[in-house]
Amino acid sequence: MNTISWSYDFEAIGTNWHLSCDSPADVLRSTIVRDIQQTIESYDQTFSRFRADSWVRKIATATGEYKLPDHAPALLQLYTMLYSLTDGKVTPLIGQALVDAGYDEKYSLQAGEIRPVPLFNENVITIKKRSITLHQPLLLDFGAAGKGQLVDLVASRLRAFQVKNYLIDASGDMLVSANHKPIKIGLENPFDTSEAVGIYDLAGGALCGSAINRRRWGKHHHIIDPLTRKPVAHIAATWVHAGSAMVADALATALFFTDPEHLRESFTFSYVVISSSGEVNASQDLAASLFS
Amino acid sequence: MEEDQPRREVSQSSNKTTILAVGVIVAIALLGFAIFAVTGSTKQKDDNQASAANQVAVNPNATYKDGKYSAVGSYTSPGGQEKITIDITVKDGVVTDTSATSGAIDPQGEQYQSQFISGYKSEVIGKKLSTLSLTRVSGSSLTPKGFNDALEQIRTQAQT
Repeated sequence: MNTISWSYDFEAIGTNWHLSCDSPADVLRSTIVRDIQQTIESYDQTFSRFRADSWVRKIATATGEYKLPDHAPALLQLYTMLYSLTDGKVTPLIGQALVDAGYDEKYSLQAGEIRPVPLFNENVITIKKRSITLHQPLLLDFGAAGKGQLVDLVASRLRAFQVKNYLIDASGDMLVSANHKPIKIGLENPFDTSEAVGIYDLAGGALCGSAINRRRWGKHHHIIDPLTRKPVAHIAATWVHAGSAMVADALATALFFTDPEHLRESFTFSYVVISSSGEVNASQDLAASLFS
Repeated sequence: MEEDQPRREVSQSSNKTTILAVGVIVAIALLGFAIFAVTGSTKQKDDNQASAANQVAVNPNATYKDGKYSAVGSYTSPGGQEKITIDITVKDGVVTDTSATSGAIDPQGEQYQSQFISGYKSEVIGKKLSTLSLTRVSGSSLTPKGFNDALEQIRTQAQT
């Protein structure tokens, strides 16, 4: 099969994306690009709290039962697992707290008092296979895992076109196909973004990073502890290498709240964690060289 | 082990460099590795005479036994007086390890101290991206223009 190698850089869901791949010569690149953009737009319109026309904004207006859109069941299931594993720190009910802190749809970045975050349990929200019931007004936020799930979806669309050797980079959260040649990913220094603290040898799977150096304003940043309602202070950056971008993305957030070895009892992944004091903690099996 | 020296109460405006300076000066005061020039003559001065906050006279001939030393510096943040503790390890007359812990109660003070601590001791070693051959870089997501514009507005307002 003849293939063409190409790459495509674009903006979507509030950040910069890069895609490179080998696609069959008999498929128009524009067809693939259009499909990906529709996939992203459809996901954004469902799960983004930053747009007034989204499903999450629609259901935030009133209690009641709502049919679950595509991809929501898997997302909610992952959140349910992580809510338990992190003793309530990773939760999709963090949306209102982020808005109160100023990280709202207008990026007002004006922090007000942060209201208590509802518990993620049956009294607040009932989750069934195909529907959820909100027992109180709730603004769902899927920032911890949504981008990762979307990256996985884009990858599945590429596979549908018989695309090979794909690399999808959604601004630091990336996925490479299993047959991709190994690539070197710089792990950005959260204290100095002109530097890397190490190089990850990615030969397949997803590598997702989370850090508090960009989305920060005043005394706040975007990783808020739902119980203290304060931004997490002791971790500066995390990376997770896992089989799917949704899991890697979610675990990268969970590592701000929970010990990695505790999470390794339930998930298969490698990690790097940098504390606010600059100490590095990484798994033994790491496919990376950290500078020393 | 507390060194037998008077604690220096230093009043400083709160910023990262100044807090670092306080810590360093306290550390150096303990170990006598440097002498800061005192303005004017070396004669004994009146207590009334203001000595600059960051000037310390030490005995250059003092030697320090191996061990751990601790010193407390205080400074003024917008929230009031804060304290920071510097711990130093000396081996063969050389400082081999340092760490800083905050004793701030004021939440705003803690913010400044976290910023100080994160820059003060680091095991993370960075290398310039421009010197590395990489396919991609992974870190926090780049923020959209709207977010950056909002940040810029806040910074501008904070300065006025």
